[in-house]
Amino acid sequence: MPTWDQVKEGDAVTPLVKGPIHREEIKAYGTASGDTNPIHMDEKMGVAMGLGGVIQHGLRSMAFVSQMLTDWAGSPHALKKIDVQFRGMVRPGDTVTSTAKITRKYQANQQKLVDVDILQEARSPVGKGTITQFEGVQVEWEEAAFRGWLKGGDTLIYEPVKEEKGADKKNRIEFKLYRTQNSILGKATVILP
Amino acid sequence: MSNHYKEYIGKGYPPGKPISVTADAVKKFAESVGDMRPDYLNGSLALPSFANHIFVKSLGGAVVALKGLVKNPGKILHAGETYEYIEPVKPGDTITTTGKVANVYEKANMLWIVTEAEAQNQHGRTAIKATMTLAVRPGGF
Repeated sequence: MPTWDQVKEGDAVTPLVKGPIHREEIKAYGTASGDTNPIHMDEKMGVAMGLGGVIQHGLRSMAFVSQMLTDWAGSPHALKKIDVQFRGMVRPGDTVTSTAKITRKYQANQQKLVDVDILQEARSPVGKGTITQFEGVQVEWEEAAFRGWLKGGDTLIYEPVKEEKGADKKNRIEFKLYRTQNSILGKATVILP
Repeated sequence: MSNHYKEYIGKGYPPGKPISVTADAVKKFAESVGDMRPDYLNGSLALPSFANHIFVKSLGGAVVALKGLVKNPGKILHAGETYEYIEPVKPGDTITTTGKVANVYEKANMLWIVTEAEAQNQHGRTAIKATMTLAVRPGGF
């Protein structure tokens, strides 16, 4: 963990990755927090409310950001203020990466402080498949693709995960497709030792 | 904006029911977000994000205050949240919350509700200040 003397403006906070998110985890957060709005707890209600299924509580995503900052600062008391906007829905299957960057380093009221800009990104699996020389492209779609979770303007990311070159020249590529979107943008003030 | 919405601005929530912070509630909350710092699991301290539990549990009055403004809670989305941490919260504390509707407005076909709240501990000192922004989708207001 860094001390205030060691950091400078522009430095990145150690990122925190969580996921893939499971429906049971969302439900457990609903019970633990008391926010049992059916859009988080009940798949059918999530659909009925026009969301295509349950979504993660924004505040569970925010908790990941808080954890990133207290882990990085090395103290559960390090978080002085956090201010976030929820920009995209986090859904089952998503992997959530929280990041932050120092924008200001200063002292106030005998505390050594840094302000950070927060960016959290949710990566949704869209499909997985194979490309072979003679059979072409085969894709097995994930929930995001057939439950209306994608929106116009989304960019799909192609990621080859395995490439095989057979002796008979039957080349084969296994790949995954993802969509990434910002789930949280925000700012925080953190106390450093 | 119609006068119907304006009448809610500045309206205070009925006093929140005091809640006792228990080690078990903090532990379950920490486990539900996967933040396994020993302080949160052994009853020493509540994690910062436990603020959500506090405001949800103690601000039941908000539901009453917003009645008539939000017709379908299923159409509510959380749009933003601010927490200012002033004093740590730990198991054994008794927290009382007060709050008000700070603003209500329509934008992009949605109704936006901004609430401000404060959580005070048993010593009468403010532990957490919160600002919550809710967006109510069409059909919900």
